[in-house]
Amino acid sequence: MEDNVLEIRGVRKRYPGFAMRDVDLVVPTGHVTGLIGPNGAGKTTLVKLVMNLITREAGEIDVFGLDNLLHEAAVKARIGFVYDEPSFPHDVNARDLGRAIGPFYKGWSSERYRRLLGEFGVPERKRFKALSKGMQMKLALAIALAHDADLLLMDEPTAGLDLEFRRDLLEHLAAILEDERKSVLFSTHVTSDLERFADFITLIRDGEIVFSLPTSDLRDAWGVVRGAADVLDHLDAPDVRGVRTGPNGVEALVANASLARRRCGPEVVIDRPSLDDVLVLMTRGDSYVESH
Amino acid sequence: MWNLIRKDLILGHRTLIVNGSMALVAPFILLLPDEPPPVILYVLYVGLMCTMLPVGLIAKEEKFSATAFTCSLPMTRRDIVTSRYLGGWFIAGGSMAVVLALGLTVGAVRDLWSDGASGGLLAGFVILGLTIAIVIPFTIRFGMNGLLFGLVGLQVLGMVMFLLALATGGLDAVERAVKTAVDAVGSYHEGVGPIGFAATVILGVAVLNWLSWKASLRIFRTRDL
Repeated sequence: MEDNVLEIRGVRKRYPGFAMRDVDLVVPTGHVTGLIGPNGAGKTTLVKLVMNLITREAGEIDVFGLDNLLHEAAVKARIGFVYDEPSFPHDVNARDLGRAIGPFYKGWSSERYRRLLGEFGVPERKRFKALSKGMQMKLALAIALAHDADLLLMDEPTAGLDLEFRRDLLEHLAAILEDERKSVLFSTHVTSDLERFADFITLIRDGEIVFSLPTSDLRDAWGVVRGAADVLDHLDAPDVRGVRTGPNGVEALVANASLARRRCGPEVVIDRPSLDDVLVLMTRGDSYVESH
Repeated sequence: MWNLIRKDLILGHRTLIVNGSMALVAPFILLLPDEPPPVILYVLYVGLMCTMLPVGLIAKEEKFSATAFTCSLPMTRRDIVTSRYLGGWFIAGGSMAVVLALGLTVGAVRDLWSDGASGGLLAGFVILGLTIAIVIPFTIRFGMNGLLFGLVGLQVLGMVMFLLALATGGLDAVERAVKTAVDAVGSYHEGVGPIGFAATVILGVAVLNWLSWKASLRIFRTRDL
């Protein structure tokens, strides 16, 4: 078994107004990696590159140790893929989709597919266009989970889903991950989904990977310093990852909370950062300052 | 490969039923005038209608942006393009055979074939092959809307060329060129005999489809979804 289920090296892709530059990313086997970033940061582009839905201009992508272009079919056979906007012909139903898709996958289980549809409350005979957005996503999830994939590649899978189902889905994924060969790459801008669930967090911004770290490192070592504007003077500049100035003072995200605590003294509040804090301070902090 | 064709048949069965019914009924319109058309015209019409069945499936996939879903399946883009051609021949050829066979149960259609069945069948093969070779790359690149715009554009271009030829007195030259081409085909037919001619036509259609497949592959391989 490979240490890393996915390795991306030096990948480049350009669109008008957007460029992904020399992206490197590793997704370890047997873990959940959360890919976070604001809208337009490049999350979907990255996922599409792995699935070869878009062509890369440079770089290499290995999935299960295999080049994703040279071994395209073999690689995709082991991936359960959820697209951010499920797109199936509008006049088909879940039953037709199961019959059409099943034969492509060795591990496909019609029984498991029907059970998932039942658990998710997706009617088998209702046409795709008659399903709500949330139901369409649940159908896409049932398809992705029905063939015992080794890597679940999910682009905004919880978009449009209610809180209760999101929790059920995460529990479902956690159960799948009890098998140590399974891995998940989960892209989302709803960071609360990843808070307890992800083992690793990767932040992408403007087509560049800002960091890729174990969630425990973020939780235990990083901190959000809150205080008056002069608190910034006490912080070690390279350690500061983002600043937001508001009417009540400043918030600064630091990569070494204990160092910040020593430097700022006990009167300054330093909290554990939520993923929301990380996302906001590292991607919107500057513009927040400018707009005020 | 078969899985892809099977998928298209399952997910497109409603479209196939609706469009197939039209392909079955529409050729009878040709029988309405007092003077029935030559069998070749009848077969060409049936062929065009039937070729639109697989093209309709590709266009439907494009319309619902389901091409990304197809490309996420464990298949290469080469497999997907090849299945478009094989599926195209399978669906269009199969439905054409069914429509022609069912047409034979109607006396008026049966009479048309007295003109010469072999010429009609060869014409059917040619129209199928030509349409698939021309339309599939276009649909893969631009979808159904692009195809419709393309067809309308070609008609407009034809009209403009016709008017230009009229205005410049070049119509006679066009007529002479067409006549020369028809005569050349006719004398080739006489020279090699019916079997040699049919073999040449089949080879020509096969080569054209191969070139079309290569072009589609090039288009589809670099397409971002």
